[in-house]
Amino acid sequence: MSRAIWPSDDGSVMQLSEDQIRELAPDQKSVLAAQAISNHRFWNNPGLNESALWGGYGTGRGYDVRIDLANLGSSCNCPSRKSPCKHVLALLMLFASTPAAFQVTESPEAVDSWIQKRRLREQKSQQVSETKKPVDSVAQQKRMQEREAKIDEGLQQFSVWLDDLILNGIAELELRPFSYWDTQARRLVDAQAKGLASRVRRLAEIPRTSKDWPPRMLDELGRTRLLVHAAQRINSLSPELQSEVRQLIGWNLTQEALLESGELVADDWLIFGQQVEEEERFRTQRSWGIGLLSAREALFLQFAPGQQGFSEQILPGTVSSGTVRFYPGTTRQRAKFEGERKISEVRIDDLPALALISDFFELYATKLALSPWLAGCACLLKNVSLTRLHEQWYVRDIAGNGIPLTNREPFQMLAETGGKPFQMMGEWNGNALTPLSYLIGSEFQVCR
Amino acid sequence: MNQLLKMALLGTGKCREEPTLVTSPVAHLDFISEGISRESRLLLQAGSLAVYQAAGKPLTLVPPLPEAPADQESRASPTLLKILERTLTPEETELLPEFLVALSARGLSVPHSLLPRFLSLTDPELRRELLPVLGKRGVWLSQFDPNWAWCREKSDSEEETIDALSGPWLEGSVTQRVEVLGQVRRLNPGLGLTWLEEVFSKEKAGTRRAFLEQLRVGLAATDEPFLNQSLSDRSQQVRFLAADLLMQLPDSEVARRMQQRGEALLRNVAAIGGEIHLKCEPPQQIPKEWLEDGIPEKSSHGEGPRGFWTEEIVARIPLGFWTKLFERIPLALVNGILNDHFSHSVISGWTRAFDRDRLLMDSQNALWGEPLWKYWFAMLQHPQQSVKDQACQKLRRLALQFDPGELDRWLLQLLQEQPDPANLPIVEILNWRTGNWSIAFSKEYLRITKGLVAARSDRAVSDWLQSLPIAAIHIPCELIESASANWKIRDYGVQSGQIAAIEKQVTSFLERLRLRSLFHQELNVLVELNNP
Repeated sequence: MSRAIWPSDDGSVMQLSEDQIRELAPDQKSVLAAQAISNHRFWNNPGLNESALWGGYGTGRGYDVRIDLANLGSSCNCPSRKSPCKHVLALLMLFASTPAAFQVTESPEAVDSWIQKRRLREQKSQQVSETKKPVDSVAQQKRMQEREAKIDEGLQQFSVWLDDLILNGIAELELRPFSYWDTQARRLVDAQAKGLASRVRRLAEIPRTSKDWPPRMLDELGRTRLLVHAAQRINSLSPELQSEVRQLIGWNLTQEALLESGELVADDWLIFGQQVEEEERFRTQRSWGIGLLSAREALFLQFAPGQQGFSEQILPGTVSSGTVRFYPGTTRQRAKFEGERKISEVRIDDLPALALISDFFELYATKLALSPWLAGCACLLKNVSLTRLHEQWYVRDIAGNGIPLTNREPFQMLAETGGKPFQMMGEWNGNALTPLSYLIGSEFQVCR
Repeated sequence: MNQLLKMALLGTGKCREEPTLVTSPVAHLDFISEGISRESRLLLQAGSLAVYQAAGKPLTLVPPLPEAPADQESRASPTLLKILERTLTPEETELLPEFLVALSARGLSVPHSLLPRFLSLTDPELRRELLPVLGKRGVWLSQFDPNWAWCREKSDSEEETIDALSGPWLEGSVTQRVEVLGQVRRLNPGLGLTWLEEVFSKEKAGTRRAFLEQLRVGLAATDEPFLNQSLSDRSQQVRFLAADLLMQLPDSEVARRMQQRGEALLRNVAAIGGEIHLKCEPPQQIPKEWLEDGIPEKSSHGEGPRGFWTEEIVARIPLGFWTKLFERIPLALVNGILNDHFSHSVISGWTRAFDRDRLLMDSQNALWGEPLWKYWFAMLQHPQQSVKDQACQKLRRLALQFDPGELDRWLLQLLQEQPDPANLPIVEILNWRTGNWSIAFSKEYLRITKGLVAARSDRAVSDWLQSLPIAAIHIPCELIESASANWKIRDYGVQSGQIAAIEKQVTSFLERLRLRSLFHQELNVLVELNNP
């Protein structure tokens, strides 16, 4: 796991904004509960040093709250199962609003001991991941073959299901119940093809979303069938494309495989956007980053069960200086942080962005050629302005061309830009752009 | 629609032809040689076409948006932004008027980043305060959402011409026509009356009543003939309303009849040269002429009929009549009726007349305020809850008549003269007063509140503390520091639910004061930065 160091260059501790603290919360209820108690009246002996932030909440027995500044890990002895709990969030909010009230001092023994235990655990975990266990290659080979057989069987059954769907026609899909899609998705999960299962669940949403759903449905079914076609001929593909297809199907890459074949890139990574999607029993966090020197785009995916927090603290509106390991494949989009990283505020007035939409479309076409199943890619544009045509909002470049926005009411951006040119960062899904953040002069704002 | 889509919609089971993309650049990807089913071939071709189209998306030319006019934005600090954001939440929105007025007084506008949220406010009072601080950017932004059109609506100085109103008068809905009539009466009362006369008899009863109500605007003696005619309208509601309006014309026949009735109702029975002593003698049965002039026969609140009629008659007579009739000041008249059996009814009638006549702005009428206030103030101690409730209601109406300084004096007296202020309906009382309180009143309120909290924790104290949110908004800025200091909650040694509730109320109050204080501090910093 990477470590994020929060102290700034001058040794002082970096301030988190309240928005960034909200991003850490498991839900909005926790944010509201934390706001209600982020007042010094409720806290005893708050303190701070280079390793930790701590404080006592309430009177009497109360709760002891500790925050590891290296990675924002936390501890609180309240009975809440949420992580981070409202007390941790409240202490961070209090620190954000009144940093002067926190004396930099020696930490109490309990806090010291907690930090030491955490460091020991991290070291052990690092050692375990670095220590290679002796591999039983025969057993491993057998497991791989069994897995591939299962997937092959699943792909075969899925092809038959898709054929059946087209035989009957997509017009009747509007009337199909949820179980029609769900049953097939579960079969794919059983066949170890979780990626395809997610695709099927997304297909289920299409008939309800818009009037022109039939062409969209056919497009997505077609692309899904292309993926199945590629997977059924995987040995004829290049190693990079094999890796790409396997990941899309849902074949999880092991840590060893990632270390072996993943590409390392060191840079200052601007985290310019984040979305959290709720699924049945877990949440997926998608964070977009761009290397300020390399201009490489990076998509950080994290998963957490229920209301648990995500293991890595990746905050939009910050710059993480460190190394990133890209997952193997043709697009090399998905990435994760590796080793130490230093987090700082965004202090830039120029981005590695394109000035023309035509250049961006060309770039996108290049990416599609590498992976026809690309769900989305980063889109960074400079010198663009907002405009509207027939109730549809666009971002317009200096050549007069526009890209439609998914956002029906980009009023926040409009209010701040006043219709003047600015720099925008977002996610392009092939049809429309979702704005994630923007830069006006040197003022960086994350879209809310 | 391409051939593939047609086939896919219907289903290959119903189509004999082979799926093919004849003229597409990806037509060569037909997958025929791969030995797969027709259905799979259709999907693979569709997928190839989808990728091709996604990769070759055509460019769309779009027109530019006119930029916002140059606007001097006040670079609010993060703290000030955070405070303003907080006041946009339902819990703190009551602080907004003060903050918006403060911004306006310093020639500042709301920060651009908060404009969408401010423009989305729906409260008319907040919108009024917001208009001066929207700035050019705010007005520019408002064109993009029809819900924000309110800030670009015509100002009061742009009055619609009579010509423009005639269309809606003839063709609009009832609601629109009522509004139009009110506007025409403001511009030209005589013309409004003419328009009304032309249509009146053809309208339904409810509409006639609504139209007639608009004659209150610009009511004058020239309206009397029409109103007299309306006294014989087929609808009782219209007749009563016409009578009510006529009574506001002192020289009208109805008003004269009412005054004659008043003269018969109240007599001074004191010895000559002595203090006035009034006696009220309402009839045993209601005369038919009273009914015809709009006096209701029965009370809807279960009052005795004679007292009810007394109040109704007295309420319809201008107050100046009584001071002229008895040649006494209002205080003497109120004192003079106090011992009479029907005193409560008479004073209730006078109070209603005082409320109705407030628009007259008569200095003589103003003298009625104090004795009426004192009477109803005393009624707050009445053993009957219904009388206490009535007293509250009357005092609320009276409070609207006093200027803020005067009201503060009355309210201060009210607080000071209570043996146990916790028994007062303090929340109701404080709602009579809008705007910042006077320093004297605020200090007294705080003295009482801190004293209650330090000494007691019973239910009455908890009820009193429901007034803290109101106090948090209206205590003047110069008292915030002292208002925040020296709060001691009675310590019983044991934490109870009641004590916890009191702590919570006090904490919320102090937090609100802190927010106000912080806002003004940040605003001062901003002003200094803008004007070094």
